[in-house]
Amino acid sequence: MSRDKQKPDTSPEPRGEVTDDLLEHEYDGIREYDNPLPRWWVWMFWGSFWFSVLYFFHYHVGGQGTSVAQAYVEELQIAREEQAKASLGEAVTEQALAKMMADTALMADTESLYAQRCAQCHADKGQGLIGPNLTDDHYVHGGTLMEIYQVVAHGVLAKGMPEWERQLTPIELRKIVAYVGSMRGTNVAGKAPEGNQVGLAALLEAAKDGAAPPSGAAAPSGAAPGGAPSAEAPTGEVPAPSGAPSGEAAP
Amino acid sequence: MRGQVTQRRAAPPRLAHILIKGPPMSERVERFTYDDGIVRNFAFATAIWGLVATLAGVTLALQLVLPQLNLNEWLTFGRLRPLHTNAAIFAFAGNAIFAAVYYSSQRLLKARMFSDTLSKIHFWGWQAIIVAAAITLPLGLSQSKEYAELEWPIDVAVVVVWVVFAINFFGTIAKRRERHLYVAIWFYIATIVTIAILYIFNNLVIPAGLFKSYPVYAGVQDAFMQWWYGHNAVAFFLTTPFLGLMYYFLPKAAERPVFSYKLSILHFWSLVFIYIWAGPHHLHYTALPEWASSLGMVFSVMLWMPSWGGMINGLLTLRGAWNRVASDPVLKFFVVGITFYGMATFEGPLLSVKTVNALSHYTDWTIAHVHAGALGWNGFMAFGMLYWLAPRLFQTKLWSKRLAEYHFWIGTLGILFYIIAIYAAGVTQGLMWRAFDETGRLAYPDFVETVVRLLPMYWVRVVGGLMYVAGIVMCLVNIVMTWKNRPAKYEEPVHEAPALGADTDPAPQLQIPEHAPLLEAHHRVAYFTRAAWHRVWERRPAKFTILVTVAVAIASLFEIIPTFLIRSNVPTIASVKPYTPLELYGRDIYIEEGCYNCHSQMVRPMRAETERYGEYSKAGEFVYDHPFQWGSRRIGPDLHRIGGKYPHLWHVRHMDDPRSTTPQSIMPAYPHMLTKDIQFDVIQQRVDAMAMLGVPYGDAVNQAEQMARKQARRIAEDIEDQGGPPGLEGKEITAMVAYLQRLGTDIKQAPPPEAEEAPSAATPESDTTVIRVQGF
Repeated sequence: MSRDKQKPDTSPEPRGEVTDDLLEHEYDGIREYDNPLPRWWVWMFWGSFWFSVLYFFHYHVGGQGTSVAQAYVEELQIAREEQAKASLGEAVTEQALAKMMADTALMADTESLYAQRCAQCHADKGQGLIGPNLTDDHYVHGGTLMEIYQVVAHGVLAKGMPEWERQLTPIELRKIVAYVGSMRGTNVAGKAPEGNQVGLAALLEAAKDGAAPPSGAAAPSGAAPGGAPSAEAPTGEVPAPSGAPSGEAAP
Repeated sequence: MRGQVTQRRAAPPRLAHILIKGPPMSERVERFTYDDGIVRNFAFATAIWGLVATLAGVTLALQLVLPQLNLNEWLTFGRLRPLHTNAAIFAFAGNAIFAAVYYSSQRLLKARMFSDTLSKIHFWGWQAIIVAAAITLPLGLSQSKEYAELEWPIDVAVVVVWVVFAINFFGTIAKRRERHLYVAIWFYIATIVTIAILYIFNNLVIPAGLFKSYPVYAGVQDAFMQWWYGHNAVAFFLTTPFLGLMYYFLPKAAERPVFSYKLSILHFWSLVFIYIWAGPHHLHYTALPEWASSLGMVFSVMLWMPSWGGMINGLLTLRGAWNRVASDPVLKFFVVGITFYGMATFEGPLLSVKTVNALSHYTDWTIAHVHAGALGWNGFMAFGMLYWLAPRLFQTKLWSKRLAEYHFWIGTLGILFYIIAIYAAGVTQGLMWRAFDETGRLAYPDFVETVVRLLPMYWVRVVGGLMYVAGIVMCLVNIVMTWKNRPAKYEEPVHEAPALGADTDPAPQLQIPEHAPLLEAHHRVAYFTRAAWHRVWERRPAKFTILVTVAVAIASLFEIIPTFLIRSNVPTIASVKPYTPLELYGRDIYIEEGCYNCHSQMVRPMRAETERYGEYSKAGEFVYDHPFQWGSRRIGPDLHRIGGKYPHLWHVRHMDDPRSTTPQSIMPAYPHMLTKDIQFDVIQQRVDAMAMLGVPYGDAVNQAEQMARKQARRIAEDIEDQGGPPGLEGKEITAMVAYLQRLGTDIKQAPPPEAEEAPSAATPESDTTVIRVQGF
């Protein structure tokens, strides 16, 4: 042994070779082999190391990596472009909505949508619960279909009415507005009337006048996400007096 | 004589054999016995708490499909979930670790435990802590930091018991009769040291009452510290001690030598050093500075091979014993346990990759991942150990080997049922959250749609969970029956070993032959790779412990220091103000009810998220959040932008009965919030504690109670105006409404002088760029 100690064998041994040489020590009967590290293990360890170094430099030390925040900005830009394309040529008018309202089959189809999205606050028959009663002839924000459209599409955030435009497809939005319009005058007992009375005459007037909405322009149905109204919103999205309601596009 | 160098077989002499000599023997031979009584206690506790923890898990699984099982205010999902996680980690895995440490250390060190009294204090102290947790968590006494929910008095007890454990363990090392420390002991040392560091620093709080406290960290820093802790609790409570367990019990059960000593060395040190850095991967895409998140990711990727080093050394140790795996339930448990370890430690790095995490985070994917680890790795290693220990501890045959086999099969199937269903649920929900339809709207804007879709998979989880529980019941029966067959009096074999003299062994030197055929550098490399230097470390426990501590501390400080120095660079948002006293109280209710278990408060900068929830969350919004409430799983929707979204009355009805506003909701009902009184008298104390932490409370320091009463009155009036029930003034719901309506709204207030807060898209880099530069 002492002779060996003076001249230790320091020649490198072949790597990756399982020799199954037992080491001399043992602990409570447990022995250990002097096997080398598996070669693939060593390579993968180095691989993960260099990947990590490069990754970090690429993103944080003078590299070209896109930051999370920048990636988000790009994601929004792409989405805005796509939406602008998709919403071209769509228009909402009082007449189009009235036509949908007259379609009883379509309104029956819409019942489940109402139950799913509106009934929590306006109650199952529209008699009002958290939100106002929809079955009388009083309206807080105006009673023409275009006015209702405004409220549903853009919400009344201060009072807890969400911007449904962000959750409903354009066709769902129109259907639900027509459905709410159809509730008028069913006078289900519930919450007391709120807002101003809107006579039938006013409604007929609005329908006759075509699409000119009494207050403000109807919004483009595909407002940009993230709350930033897109500057490049095509003017074509402002409702035009078009006689092409999309009611028949209903699924 | 045991402990002597045994004669090696065949093979020419190699360097390792020459340098790694046996310990010098003193003449004095000592006689000693091992304390197996304490191991029996820990073994029983393991099985019993295992049953409790998994039963709690099944209860939670059922509550998700049958929300009416949230029976009352103490047994809601939000309060029971911390009980489940703490029981699984600290009660089940904890007792398994202690059983392993107490059994194996005595034998590996050839010494009885340092003090039988300390052993008993450790055992009973730990069980008392578990019972205290089981009482306080359902009562809602919680710090709300995951796996660190226990309130400060219990934290103090945990630290005391842990120190007792440490003294007992290092005391045993001090009186050992084995010169070198075996790899299992290295892992135990790393566990004891690191858990102490993690636990203490994550739980630094300012008490605001006997069972109420606020952490000294806020927002981004608190989140960072929490996941530094949370991730390394997994590392140093569920990984290193179980690797130590593996290194003792696997070669014992397989009766085979460990595959590679060198691999042990390398994967031990790389694991200890690299693990610590990886914590921030729990916070990808959050308001955490991006450099920290990237560090968390790359260190997780680098962690892959060190973790697999353990798996390889385990599985390859079984070479030559595979024929016995078929007939030996102990080996079966170990094989499946180690395989799950390998799977989970591949998945960990995978989930830490940001783009994968973008899909997986907040979904059930994480839940499936941790259960593969906990049920597969921790559970099966513990069961394998218990079945191996039972006949030795009770000195009789295992009552039923067949029952152990049944346990193995039903347990394995249970895990598969559980994880396959929950992986599917995670991916399904992640994809639903990010899906857009052709009109550019969220395909599933209604959050509850994405929940209802998962319910069938949740039922499969219940089945899988029940199978796993059935296995534990079998294990418990088997152990109790084995115990019943114990001898009237346990034999206490007396062992003999020479006492350890002074360490006179010279350290192995690098020796380069005079006429070296190879370059000098090559000899140096060869010396290093032979790991002979490590052999020296192994016989110096104090040095070894210090080196482990240094490795852990350096890695921690590299991340912690910049994270805290960045404090001044977390872009302050002028309009962000502290919570009013009533809102603070409401926040405490939110914490008490464990809302964070199902709701995040962190909108990530992704279109699918900002479209659903609103503007993404900024670091500066959380500066008064002691503790942070970012959450880790969205069983319900994110709440950071809930403020102002609904009228008060919506919240009142929703808390009273969630199904009145969202018919398919699986949220527990909280009707007690409408009847329970606010304790106005504690509010001042809490505001004072917050003020002590540097939250600028101004006048509120003196009149918190009056301010709270005034706000509560106003909210109650508003609710009544909206058509809600009268008389809610002074009830908890007003505080809850106050808090929820405040959440995430400060940023919408126009900040006084500076340019108006630009819309989402315009200046999102404003906060991140500063940090990116500052970090490096």
